[in-house]
Order: sequence, then C-alpha cells, then structure tokens
Amino acid sequence: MTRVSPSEHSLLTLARAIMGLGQYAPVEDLLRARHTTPARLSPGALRSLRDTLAKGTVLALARCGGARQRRHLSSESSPSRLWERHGPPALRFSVLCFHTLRWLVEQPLAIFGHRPLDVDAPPTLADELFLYLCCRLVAGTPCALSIALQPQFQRSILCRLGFPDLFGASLGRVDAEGFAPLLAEGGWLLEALQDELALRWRRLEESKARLIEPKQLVDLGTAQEQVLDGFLDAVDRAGRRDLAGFVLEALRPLVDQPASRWVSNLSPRASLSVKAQARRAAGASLRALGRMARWDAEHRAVRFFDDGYEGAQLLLSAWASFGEPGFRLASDRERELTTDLAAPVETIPDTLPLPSSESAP
Amino acid sequence: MSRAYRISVSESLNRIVQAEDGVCSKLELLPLLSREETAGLLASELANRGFTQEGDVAVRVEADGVRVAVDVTTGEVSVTLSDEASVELRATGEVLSHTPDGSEATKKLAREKARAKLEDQTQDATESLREDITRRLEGRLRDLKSELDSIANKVTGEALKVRASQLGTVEEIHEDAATGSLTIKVRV
Repeated sequence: MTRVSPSEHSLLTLARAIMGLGQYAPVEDLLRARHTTPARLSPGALRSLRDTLAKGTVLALARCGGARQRRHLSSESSPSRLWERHGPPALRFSVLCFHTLRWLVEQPLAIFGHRPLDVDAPPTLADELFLYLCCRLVAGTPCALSIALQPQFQRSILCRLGFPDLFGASLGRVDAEGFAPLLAEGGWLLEALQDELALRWRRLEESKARLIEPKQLVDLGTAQEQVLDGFLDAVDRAGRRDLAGFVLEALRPLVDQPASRWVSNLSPRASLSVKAQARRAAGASLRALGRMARWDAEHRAVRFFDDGYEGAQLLLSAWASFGEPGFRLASDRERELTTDLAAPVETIPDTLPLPSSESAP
Repeated sequence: MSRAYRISVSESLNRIVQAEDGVCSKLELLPLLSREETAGLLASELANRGFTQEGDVAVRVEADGVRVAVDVTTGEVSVTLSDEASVELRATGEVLSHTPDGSEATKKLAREKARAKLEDQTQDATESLREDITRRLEGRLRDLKSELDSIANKVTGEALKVRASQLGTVEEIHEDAATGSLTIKVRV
C-alpha cells in the first residue's frame, strides 16, 4: 500500500473522480472549499497519479463509447471496437494536467474572486480529454462557472464541443482549423466519445424546454451554432463525416416531438421579436441536421464505380435508422421554429402586476 | 438628542412613451418559376388584397395599426405594431436631514431620487405599453397567418398554371376550392 499525505490524498481522490467518470457529490467538498496541496508530489503519490491517469484514460474511453462495436471511416472492416481500429496512441499528460488538478483542489470554485488557473501550456490530446472530464464532473453545479471562466478551459476545443452551454456565445465562432488536433491520429478520440457527445447534446436540447428567458435560449443556440458550424466544416474537409454522427444520435428521439417543445417555457412577458430570436436560436442543432441531410443526399448519389463509394455506403448504413424521414422531420421542426407566425404562446395574464420601482425599501 | 427631519421633494413629468413589437417570417413559395415571375404573381395577389407597392415591398396597414410588409422578391414577411401613450408621472424623493429645511445638497439629493423614480416609472410605462402591443399583435397573428397561407397557396397555384403552359398545351384545369387541390392536364 502506498502512503501519501492528506493533501496528496485529496489530489488523488479528485483525480480518480475525474478519470473514473465519478459523481460530483462525493468530491463536492474538495471543489468548493479551499485546500492546500504540495508543490511537489512524493514518489508514491506521483506513481499513484500516473497510474490513475493511465488506467483512468482507458476506463473513460471505454465507458464513453470506445468499447462499443461501431463502424467508422477510419476502418472499412466490419463493426469493431476502438482498440481494434486504432493502435494504442502515445498519450502524454503535460504540466497543464497537474496544475489544473492542483488548482481544482486549492481554489474554492463556488466562490468568485479566487485565483485563476495560471498555466500557459498548449493541451495535448490527453490533456484535452482530462479537461473534458473535468467539465463533465462539474456540469450543472455551482463550480461550473468558475471553470468556464478559465482561459485553459476556454481554449480546449473538446470542452467547447462537449459543453457549449458552459462557455456561452461570448467566445465567438470556432474555426475548422481549431478542430485539427482532435482529427489528428485518425480522429480516435472523437470516435471514442461519440456516445458521450450524443448524450451531452441530447441533454442540451432537452434543457431548452426549461429555459424561461429568451436571452438564455439565444445564448445557448448561438454557442451551439458557433461550435457546430466549425466542427462540420472540419470533419467535412478531413473526410470524416462519420464523426458528426453524434448529432444524429442526440436529436433522434427529439425530432418526433412538436417544435413548440423546444420553446415551451419561454416567458409570456417577452416581446414577440425577442421570442422569435429565441425560437430561431433553438433550432441551431436542427440546422446542423439540415447540412447533414445534404451530405446524406450526396452519399446516395455516389455510384458504385465512383471514388468514395464504400465510405458513402458506410455512412448511409450508419445513418439509415434516422434516414430521409428523420432529416425531413428535422427540417420541418426547424421551419416551424423560424417561420411560424402564430406560435402557440401563453398570453400575459392580467393579474400579474409589473415589478414596481417603488416596491423595494 | 438631535432630531431627524424628512426632506421630501416631489417631481412630476408628462411624457410620451413609445413601444413596438413585431415578428418576421417567410412565405413558403415553391421555386416553380423565375424569381421575377414569382414576384410578379405575388405582387398581383397582394394588390388584390389591399397591399400597396413601395418598391419591392408590398405594405398594408390595418385599421388597428398592424403593419404587414411583404418583400415580393424574397417572400419575407414582417408584421409590426407600434404605439405611443402619454403618461403623467409623479414621484417623491425623501432624504433624512438634521435641520428642518435641509441644506441645498440635501434637497438636491432628494430631487435626484425623485427623478430616478420618475425614470423607473417611465420604463415601467414603456414596458406596460409594449406588453399591451404584444398582446394585441398576438391576437392578430393567427388571422394573418391563415391569410398569408392562403396567399402562398394562390400564388403557387398561379405559378403552376404558368409553368404548365410553358411545358405544353394546357387542356384542362380543375380547382377544388374546398380542398385547395389543383389538377392541370397538359399536352406535351
């Protein structure tokens, strides 16, 4: 058994929660309170951390979808698991990972005014996964905003792809070139995270029905569009349209529902023009599906003697369960959201008084 | 023990508040003809329904002030309603002072408080007017939507007839007003 100090134990506990896809509640105290951490780890603690990161990476990738048998353009064989399509990548966690871990433990993330994460290092692919799993741990908790304000997380392309709601629309559009690191080495990381990304994006779409303020919906839709446009450009240029499959999976159960579902809780007090903006923003993912529908039509037009026939057939097969009916439904929903003049809305009840300027003492 | 005196300053304001609201949409017109031909058919149908052409935009202002504008080249529709109201506002600003009359600085502070309250009341009145406009506009949108759908169907029907005549000799046209279906027999 390896002996570590209490502060090293805190660091290792958090690392295990992050890499082990753990829940937020058991480590909430570590994230919300201030703790001290050692500047250097003891040899035993360092060994444990390396072990946690190494084994945790394999576990995380397998659980996030890498263990599922799927077909991807990276391999033209029958459905296979991630490690059957790609050789083991040389993963390297940089100093960014260790400093981020220390910062997460040291700073009380639920309180504003704490020290920012001060590490200026470009993330490796392993770091991208680590940062993504950090966001995954704190998403929807009071600590999420502190993480979203840190430049290192804002620069993480995988975090922006998985959690556009966390970062909002203020960061601007992500160019296709920004996704190059994720598409390098055969795009294995994106292949592994297909199920996880589908789950993230489905939850995002489902959360739109709970938003009340139109501005929140506009911010969310804009953030989604900023990321998706660049991502679809990137996978298209790289010849890896299969990596956009998670968008289909995310919206598959939702396109059957009426368009009003996306905007069912918008405040009845808001103006029609603002609500119209919100409705348009709510259809961000549906517009991405419109682009994928055009891809699907291109794949159908590829003849057996054309280049790329096998790839086109693979994509047609992978997207068949969604298919033309699904794309048509998505298009209908998007059109309903953006062009429906008389959308069913709650009328402003007469009994609700306006907030009075004189009501506060 | 010193007394505290309340210094009150009242301010009043007559102001005209303005508000507007609106939505944009697009007519669903099939690309059966060229853009110019479709625009011509759309402009003609809108003219029959009381729209006035202002360049590429056909405009109709309803009796209740609702303004409907249709760009005949793109099919984009905007429905807006604006209104104004005259409001009389009154507010009092109060500050505590150690003297019965209060210093000039105290009176100035009380006056600023009253004016700040007047600004808040103005914003409340504007928002109230805007909500009223939104309510009125929502009430009109359902009727307008069905009218615009009818316009789109009519223009599409006319476009089909023109296209059919371009393809060959139109032998028969049958329109069912109840169902809205259109059957055109063309000899090619």
